[in-house]
Amino acid sequence: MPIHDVGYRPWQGVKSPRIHGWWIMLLTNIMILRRNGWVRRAMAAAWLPTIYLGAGFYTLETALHATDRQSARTFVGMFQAVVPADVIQFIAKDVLTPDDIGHLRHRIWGHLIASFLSYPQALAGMLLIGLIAPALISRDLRTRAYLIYFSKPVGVREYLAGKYLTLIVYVGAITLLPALALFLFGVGLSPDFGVLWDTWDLPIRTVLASLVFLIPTATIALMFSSLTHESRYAAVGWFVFWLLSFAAWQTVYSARYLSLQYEVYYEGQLPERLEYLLDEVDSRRQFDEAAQLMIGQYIAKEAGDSVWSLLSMYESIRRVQLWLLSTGQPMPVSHLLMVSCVTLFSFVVLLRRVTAPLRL
Amino acid sequence: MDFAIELDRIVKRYRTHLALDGVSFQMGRGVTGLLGPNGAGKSTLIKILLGLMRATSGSGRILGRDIAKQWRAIRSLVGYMPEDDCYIPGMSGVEMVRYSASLCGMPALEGLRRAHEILDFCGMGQERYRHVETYSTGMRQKLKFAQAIVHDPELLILDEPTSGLDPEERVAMLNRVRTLVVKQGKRALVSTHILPDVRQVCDDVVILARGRVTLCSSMEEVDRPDQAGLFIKTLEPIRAFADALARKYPVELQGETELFVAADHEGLEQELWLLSSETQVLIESIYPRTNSLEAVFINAVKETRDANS
Repeated sequence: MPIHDVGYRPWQGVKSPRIHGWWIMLLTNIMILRRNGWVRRAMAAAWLPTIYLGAGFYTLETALHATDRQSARTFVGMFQAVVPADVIQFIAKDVLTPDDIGHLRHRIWGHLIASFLSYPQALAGMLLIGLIAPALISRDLRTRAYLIYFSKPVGVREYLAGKYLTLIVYVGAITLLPALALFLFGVGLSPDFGVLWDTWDLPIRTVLASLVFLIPTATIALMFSSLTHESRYAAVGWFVFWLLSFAAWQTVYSARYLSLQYEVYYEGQLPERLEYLLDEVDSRRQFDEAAQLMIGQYIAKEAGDSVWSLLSMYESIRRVQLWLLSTGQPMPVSHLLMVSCVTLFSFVVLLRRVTAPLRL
Repeated sequence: MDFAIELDRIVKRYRTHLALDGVSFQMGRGVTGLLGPNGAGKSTLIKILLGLMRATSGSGRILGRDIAKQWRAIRSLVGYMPEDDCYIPGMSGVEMVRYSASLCGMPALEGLRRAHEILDFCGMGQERYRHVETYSTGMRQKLKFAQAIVHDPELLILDEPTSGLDPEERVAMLNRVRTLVVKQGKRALVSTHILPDVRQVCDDVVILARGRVTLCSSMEEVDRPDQAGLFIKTLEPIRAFADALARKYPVELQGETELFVAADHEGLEQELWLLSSETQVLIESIYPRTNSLEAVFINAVKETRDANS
């Protein structure tokens, strides 16, 4: 028997007039996930590439303003795979005018952030989503936790918003947040605030590029989660989807790349505007790094310029991100459509699955 | 009278299957038992009441709110305890109740205070700090009940509230429901298969069979038998007493010490004591004849089945 029991007392307080179920769900999901050691470790590890990129920003800013070319060579060594070859050639010039610097900074920062989002952070984001998302809805289906929400003043839209936001906050914390931090780091390293004038649009582009990754991946992950009561099956589905689609495209890409490489190096087939590169390589009879880089990037671009790239959702997202963060790139309409269609399809399936227990 | 629930010809059709076929009833004060065999449409009806699904046709109001349009207001005023286990792994009991409070619009700190208060009311001790996935069935029932009442709802919809509880906990749960209704003026709709629970706690009963309301009545009405009468049990052989009584009323002997007399109660008790004195037979107990809820339930379901066939 209790020593003291107040029994039931009516509640006299004031309830929030407009309840934000999605916000309560977000806070609660963050509370639960914060207890997961693997999620904490994955998030900490996902910030490591930021250090490398930070060093890149530092080297670039030094190269743009230094009189010696050592910093430029270091920067080229660090990022030759991701920055266009013509930019690399340009940066290696002895003297850069302020106009050159402004133009180069915008292009290079855009490419660096695009590469940062497309490669290390995309991989980390997918791993983190694979860790978090599978349980988000499948767990609710298995334990019938959806009844907790739908017997309270929470609608399906708010329920989904709560789930989406959980993923967006976590994955945004390792994609968008470090990308914006890099931008601010770059601004901080610049000698004057004129850099803001040159790059004012990059934060907006970064946000858009991050959303291009976050929204489709969150939708697909939640769709997989809603398809099963077992989160492990959802996790397997999630990773298999990306791996298979990526492998299919990489197979086609590799075949095209090798074929083009053969045509260029053995048959000398290059577009007229690039033929001088081959002459340069031949005449010097030595490995010309810049020419080699330009030829390599030309082959990669040609090999990638195929409808088969639509096989890979990752590739489609990457191209849209690159378009958003680069100036002068043509809009990848087919990839944009592909990303939109897959996202829409996943959302429709997700919506139907979430409302299915209520329809029975 | 302000009705907690008013339903008017609610129909729910799933393609070819008719789940609810013109359900109409009104629920006033007190506790109403919702009875029905499996597949009668009880769960569908509760989902419609909560705005989880739309009725194919018909209309209804809960606490004056339209069930088709004001689901958000309805869910703020209603506390629902589902039959199935529903929990979020990784959360403790008190966190679950606080979560429910927050989803209903309570401030975070107040939600935590209220969660503790309600868990105390539900008889949950230190186990409230354990993760819910480690709870026994009985503890989960208490937790669901706490989640249903944490926001101080006006109407409770309880789906099998005593399922899986041991006898002691079952009584405690029914007492809690009764306390909320009698002392706090709440209204409750209790869906259950356990007929003794209905008899113990309900003021009214609605029987649903094959999607139709076959009986909607107060427990008093249900208990009132078609034929009035009393069951009498004596401490000694009842023969002499029975013979004396049989001169005025139809009597049916039911053993050495028991009989049933078919007569209205009014004034009969006095006659019985006189007869007992005359015949020197000591009466042990007198019970009025009531309908068996089981019989009423079976008849109601059978009538629907017969009508359909």
